[in-house]
Amino acid sequence: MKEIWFFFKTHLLSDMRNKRAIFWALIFPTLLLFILVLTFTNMGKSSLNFKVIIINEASPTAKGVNYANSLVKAFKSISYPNKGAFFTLTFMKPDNINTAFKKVEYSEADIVIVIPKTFNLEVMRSVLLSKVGISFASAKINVFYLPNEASSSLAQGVVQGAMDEINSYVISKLHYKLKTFTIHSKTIGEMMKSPSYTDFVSPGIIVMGAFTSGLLLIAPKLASMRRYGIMKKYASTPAKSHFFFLGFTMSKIFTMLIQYFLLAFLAIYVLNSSIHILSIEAILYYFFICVAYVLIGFDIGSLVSGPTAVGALTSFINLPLEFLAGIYFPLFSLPWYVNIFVYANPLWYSTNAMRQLMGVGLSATPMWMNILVPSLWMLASLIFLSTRRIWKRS
Amino acid sequence: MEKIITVKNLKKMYGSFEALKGIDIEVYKGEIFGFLGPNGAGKTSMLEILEGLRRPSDGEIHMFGKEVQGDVLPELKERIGVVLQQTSFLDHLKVKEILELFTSFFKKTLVISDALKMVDLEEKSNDYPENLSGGQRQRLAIAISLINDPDLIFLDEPTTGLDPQSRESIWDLIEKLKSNGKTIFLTTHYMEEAQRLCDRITIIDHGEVIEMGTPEKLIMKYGGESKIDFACSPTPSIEVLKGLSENIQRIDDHCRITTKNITKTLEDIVLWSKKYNFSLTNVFLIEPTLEDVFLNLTGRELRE
Amino acid sequence: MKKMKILIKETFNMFIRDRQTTIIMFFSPIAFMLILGFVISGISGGTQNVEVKVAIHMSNDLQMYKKALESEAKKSGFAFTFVRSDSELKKFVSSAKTQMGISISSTALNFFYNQSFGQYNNYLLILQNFIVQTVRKRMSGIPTYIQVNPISIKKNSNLTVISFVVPGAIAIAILTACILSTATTFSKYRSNDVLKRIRVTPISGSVFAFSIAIHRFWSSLLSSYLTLVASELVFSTLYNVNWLLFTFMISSAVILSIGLGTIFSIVFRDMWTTLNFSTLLLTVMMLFSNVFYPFSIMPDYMRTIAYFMPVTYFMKGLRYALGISPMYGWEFMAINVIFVSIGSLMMIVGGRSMLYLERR
Repeated sequence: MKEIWFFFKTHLLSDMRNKRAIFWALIFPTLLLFILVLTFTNMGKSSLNFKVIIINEASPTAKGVNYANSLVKAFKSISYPNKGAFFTLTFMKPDNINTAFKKVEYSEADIVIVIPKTFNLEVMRSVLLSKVGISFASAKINVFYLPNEASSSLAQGVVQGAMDEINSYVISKLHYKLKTFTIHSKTIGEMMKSPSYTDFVSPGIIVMGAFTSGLLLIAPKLASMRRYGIMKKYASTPAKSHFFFLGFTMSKIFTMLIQYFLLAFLAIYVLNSSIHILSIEAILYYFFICVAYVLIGFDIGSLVSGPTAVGALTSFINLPLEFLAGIYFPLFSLPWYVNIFVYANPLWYSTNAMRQLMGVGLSATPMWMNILVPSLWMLASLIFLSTRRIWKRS
Repeated sequence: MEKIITVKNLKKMYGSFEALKGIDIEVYKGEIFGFLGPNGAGKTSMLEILEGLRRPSDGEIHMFGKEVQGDVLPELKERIGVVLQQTSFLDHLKVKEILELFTSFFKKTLVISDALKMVDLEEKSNDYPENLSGGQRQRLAIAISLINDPDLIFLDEPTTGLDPQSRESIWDLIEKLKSNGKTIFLTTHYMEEAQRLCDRITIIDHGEVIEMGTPEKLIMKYGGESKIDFACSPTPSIEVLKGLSENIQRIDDHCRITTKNITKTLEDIVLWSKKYNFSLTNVFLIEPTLEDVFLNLTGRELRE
Repeated sequence: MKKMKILIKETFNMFIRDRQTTIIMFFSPIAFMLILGFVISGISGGTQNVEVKVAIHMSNDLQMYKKALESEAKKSGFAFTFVRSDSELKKFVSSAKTQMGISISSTALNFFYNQSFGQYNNYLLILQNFIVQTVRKRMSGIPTYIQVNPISIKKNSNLTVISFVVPGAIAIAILTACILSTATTFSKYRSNDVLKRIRVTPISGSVFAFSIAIHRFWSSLLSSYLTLVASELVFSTLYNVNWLLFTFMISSAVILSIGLGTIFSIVFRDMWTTLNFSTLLLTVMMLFSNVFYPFSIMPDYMRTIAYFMPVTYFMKGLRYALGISPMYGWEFMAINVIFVSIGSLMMIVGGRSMLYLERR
């Protein structure tokens, strides 16, 4: 027992004094959570700003009615500098239409709205016809866009939505009766009422933090201990190898627990999340995956030649694993050969489980799978580790 | 004799700590110049200043008759070879490839096989350095320093951490270099190494030169008396021993006489044993070494 | 010249035998492009067009509207799957076969979302309004007075959603690989005293740095060609590649990233700090550029940061070279000239100071 305590204390202290360990275990996940929340919380919310060029070709009708002007006014009311605006408008003369197109092509503008010459006439005709109950063709405004440019495509969609609002307004003025529907929306698997991005991403970051620590606290350390013969030195003492493994592992898991609470408190108290950080089940599951990741760390530490190699390797396996765990973005309609990686990715199950256990939303995979798959990884790591004889190697 | 290096009043400060306190030395062509001192005495600082790896805080350096101001000029670097205290080789290159890489750094170079032959590593030319033994790695480091056929070679503790056999082979190699006319500047804390290899040595401690000269002269001056150890049977009494010399002491089962005149004392011992009918066994002569010189100069052991 | 040849030959050996570096340089860009491509195009609903997949259940009395709804959906970028019951609908949504489910009866509209889509549901909720309006109008038999007529500016454009993701993925992968491998190599040489050893020889720091950089240069170029070919094979991204411009853009970005890597290794001295900083920077670079999201939906502060990220311009140049979006010739030139000059300057200054700083 004394030996376990000794190994635990020594390795914990050594991590706490190690810049690298502190960075990966505490600083990096914290910064990442901040950056992600900063990035995505405001994305698409109250920050839409599409650059729209309006070309008004319409001329007033003989009676002086000008629907086009009203339409332009309606657009102005939902553009900057008004509150809650979507657009920044630029007006151009009809002869400049090609310049306007060029601006869209060169990403200087998102779309070009052209109100055609006959617009006023068309609207007038359709209003009249509809009043006498004759079917009519609606007046059209042309929206020029680039379907494959995300920005342009989105802007086009927003204009469509805006037009619906405008139409509804006209309709209500004309005393049409709209059918009433009750609208109801439900999020399947929801546990928390409208989770914020922080709620969504925090469990994933906690899992990712544990995984990176598992790799970067253990693998480089083990590699350098082997290189400098420290393992050999330990092996030459009467201390049993499992004492070392227990003490060493526990020191890493202890650091990971600190990391858990650091991230969890940050999410709750700084980023206003409402995840259940003190859920016993969540903490127990976290402990379980920490053990799994520590074992994977051991495998990598026994495989690579030196600490440098681990660093580079980790940077490169981390990113794909995180993407394929749906930590940052939801995973949707992936081809089967990519899904294989998703289904084999322990991070995916852990993220799903942690989201459920922290009260964000039901896991996309059944809970027994969330335990089974990391367990299989654990088992595989143990079997692999038993073939490597780290204790005996220098 | 031609001076290869002249150093005047060289000082080096690390913050408020004065590592070198005004060193003056001269190194002559073709000699092995030893720079001796305990760990932390300032040997490596001195050497690295000469190699251009550290900036002196004050003082003057001339190398090959040219004043070294600021950086060591490339044309001087062409003429020097360096073996650092710790040598790491570039990853993923074989022995001969490392040497080849270094040939590209210099204008004038040796043929690689000649350099390898000189350090006796021809058979290892296709191996990676990580597969070499400690001694072989050190010989490779020396081969790299020889690749530009330098006139002056800096060796920083070349045998530290090596086993006696490897050490012996490095010594042979250094002697061979000297016989080829190279000037060698060597730092070491092994007195045995300095005594065997160096033509002249400078002993420094706490950043100051405490003595300079040939090993023989230094030993003669500061080494103190020689010692003769012997045992005899039957064991003589103290009184009988005192009859032989006043400077005698008994250590366990043998006796030790300290003397300035070895020949005379030896004759005395033989006469004395005949007189008392003792049979002499295990007679040893212990001559003073540079270790004693250091002890006598500083009152401390060299490796304290 | 002969000396230079030897130097380059031996640094080539060092590079090509270093498995770790070669994997980073050659394979990671392809892997990164594939993963990013799949994940992003997955969210967009397809590799070809932006398409929101919706499962719909209509009550029996509404079956007559099915066709009309379907045609409306196609126009507006939805793909409808009609299911027979609400429970089937929920299954579709919860197993993420569709992004959203709508159950329509004559009196109610029920929308279903999947919680695991997280923030993405916000976008879907915007669409909900649009759908409600459309259904309501159509079922009330109310005319649309003014209609939006979307017209594509570019005729016969066969570019797909994935076409926009690939340049971003190439840009980030190349920057990551070059910055990381250069920075870690130089800091490793510092920490194991290789630089110190080289400092005492007459070779200049920039020549040595150049000999290390040149292998990162050609391998990046090669790997970006391979990545492009891979994207062509896997995603059928029918680019109209201008190989000359592509080579120019990649080359100048590589020079810039090698320069950055060199400077990082000098500023941060030890290998781990260099690695840590580079990882952080690359994460920020990836998130705060328009690789994943267009500028127009970014909050202002992000947009400002994005304008300072070289990756933004690198990607713009790549999109131009791949015939995706046009760009003014002078702008392309300016980006390249700036990249190359800043990159080379950093390499020269970095290389020199790298050895200079070995003198303490």
